[in-house]
Amino acid sequence: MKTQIHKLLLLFYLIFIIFSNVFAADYPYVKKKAEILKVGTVEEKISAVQELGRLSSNANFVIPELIYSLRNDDSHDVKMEIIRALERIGGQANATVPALIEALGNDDWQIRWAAAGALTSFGKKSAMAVPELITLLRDSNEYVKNAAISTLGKMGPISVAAMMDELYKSLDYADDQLYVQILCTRALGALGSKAMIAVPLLVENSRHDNAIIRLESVIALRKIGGDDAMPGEIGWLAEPDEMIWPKGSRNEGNFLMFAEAKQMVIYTIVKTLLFSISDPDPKVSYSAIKGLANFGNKALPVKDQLVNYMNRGTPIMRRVAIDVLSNIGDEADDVIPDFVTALSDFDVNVQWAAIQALRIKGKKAVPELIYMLEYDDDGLTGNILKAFSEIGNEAKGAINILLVMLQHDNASYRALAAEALGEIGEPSLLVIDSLNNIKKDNDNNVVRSAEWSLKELNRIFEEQDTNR
Amino acid sequence: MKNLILKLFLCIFFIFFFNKIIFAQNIYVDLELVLAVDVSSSVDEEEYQLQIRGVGAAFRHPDIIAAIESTGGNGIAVAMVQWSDNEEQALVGGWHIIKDAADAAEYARIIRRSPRIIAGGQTSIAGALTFSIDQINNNNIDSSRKVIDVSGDGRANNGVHPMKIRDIALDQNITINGLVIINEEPFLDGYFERGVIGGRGGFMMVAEDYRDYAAMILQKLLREIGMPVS
Repeated sequence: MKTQIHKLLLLFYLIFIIFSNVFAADYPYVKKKAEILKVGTVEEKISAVQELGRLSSNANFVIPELIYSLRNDDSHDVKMEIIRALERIGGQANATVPALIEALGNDDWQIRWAAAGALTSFGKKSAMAVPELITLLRDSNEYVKNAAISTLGKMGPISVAAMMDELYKSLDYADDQLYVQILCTRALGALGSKAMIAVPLLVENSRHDNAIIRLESVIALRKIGGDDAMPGEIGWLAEPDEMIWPKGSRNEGNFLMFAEAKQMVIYTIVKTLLFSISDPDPKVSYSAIKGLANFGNKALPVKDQLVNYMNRGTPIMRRVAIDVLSNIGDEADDVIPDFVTALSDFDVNVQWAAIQALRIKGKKAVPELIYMLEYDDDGLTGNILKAFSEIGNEAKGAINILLVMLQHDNASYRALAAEALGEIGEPSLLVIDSLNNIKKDNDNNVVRSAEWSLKELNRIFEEQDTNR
Repeated sequence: MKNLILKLFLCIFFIFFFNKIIFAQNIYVDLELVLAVDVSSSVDEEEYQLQIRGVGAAFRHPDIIAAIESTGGNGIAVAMVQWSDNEEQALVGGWHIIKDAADAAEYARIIRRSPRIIAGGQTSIAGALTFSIDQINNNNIDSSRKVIDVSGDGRANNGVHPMKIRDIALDQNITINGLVIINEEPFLDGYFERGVIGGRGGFMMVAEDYRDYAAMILQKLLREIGMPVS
């Protein structure tokens, strides 16, 4: 017995030794990998750099070697891998960020693109790259432009002022000024509440002569206003730039002053969106309506206008109007009959939006759905049954009519009714018996739907039984 | 006696051998489709619901059923994968062969009820692709078209670059399509176009937010189940 324990301990020791030698990211191991950069073949260098990237911060101390090779290696592939490794290691910003900025000026677009993307990992520490990234917005290569704007859009407050500068310039400042302004406006939107200081400028631009600028401004405003991050954490005291754009926090109650400020910004944004609904350009109008879905009952002042869009707009407008109305809350309960009517819309996406709106309304939508089901209208019945399934347990009030629907001539209605009974999940004897009866149905879809619901109800019954 | 034992042995061997062949025989379908759904931390519960309910609704659409039924009788094989970071992927409810409306409705029910297996995490598109490739390679199903339909709302911030795994997929004749939700990153479509999608007829669609997901996934599935459009 003793010998066996000794053998086992020896085995564990050996495994430990092997693993610690093979996988340890200790100094000699990392240094050895970095040495390959000087003497290895291209393949060996790539493999070594990839390994260093995988080691992440453990490879911090070989960053100078990586930067040296980034500047001096002849191989394009090795340089690309080094940039990716630097991005993953993410350390020594004082040395890495300048090296990446240098790479932004490389003749090879892929190097510029990779370097612009890699700067994302350095957050505020890459502040010094902002001017170069702004310059890259005018790069000849589309990918490089996108990488630059994407990085700017993730940098946080430090890039906001630079992008606002571009928005202040007139459209004839440069040939591509419109394009640059579009990119900057999108990036401001991507920054969310961190770009709050740009709201007045964006509001102004939402009334610009150029419809594209208006559109992008409206989209950016709704993203800034729809950002969940509420200002409030104390971090800004230590970091001066955060004084203007406080650190995100969902803890709204702690710092009332910021919460109030945010509410004022939201009020301004909603007011702008409400105004832009009447924009002559349908894309701007659509975008303004879509934006209102993020602001719940603040869209209430335009409820009638939204109902009008829901009934008479284009399909995409009808769909988005339903989305907004469903998010208004109790104040828009009177719209439920309109949602039910929208179930018979000729556009399937509008129908689906109406089903989801009724799901959000839950129990309150059930009486109207039952009422309309009695009309046995082919344009409505299928979607009403689907709506009961989506509402689930809150549609208990519809069980009786669903039992009647199990006898309907139309097989697809029988199948949907059976499924809705399973989704509602009330395992009463009457429901189970009725479902068992239609297991003999001629239609395979009905049978399978009934079987699924019975299985579901059985599971619920067993759960209830266990809890008793 | 010796002869009898030998015959018996041979008999057992042949039964075992042919059984192996029979059981190892793959099912043939027209399309193998993995729906790789983003469940990283950026996706909240309502957004998750909009995704799975959207997929469920699409499989009930008459056009989708018509497209499946017109594939030549073999139907399609579909599986949903939830994914977040490099270590977090899950196959939801296994592979399903869909040949008609009843199969499609059954699958819609399974998807609509599928729980969120992965609570959150970072974003590893490479992890999602690697896992999806493995699922396709080990599903005992054969087809002439294999597609991974990856949807997401963010760039990879975990794992290797998706480009590498994309190339592995393309070598194995697997097409990667993308559904990009640009609610958080307005330039994500360029990233997907450059580093994620590819292969025969590979394409990408853009949804402004998760409210548009159902409309987009319907269009996308129609295009995927129908003949690929390059």
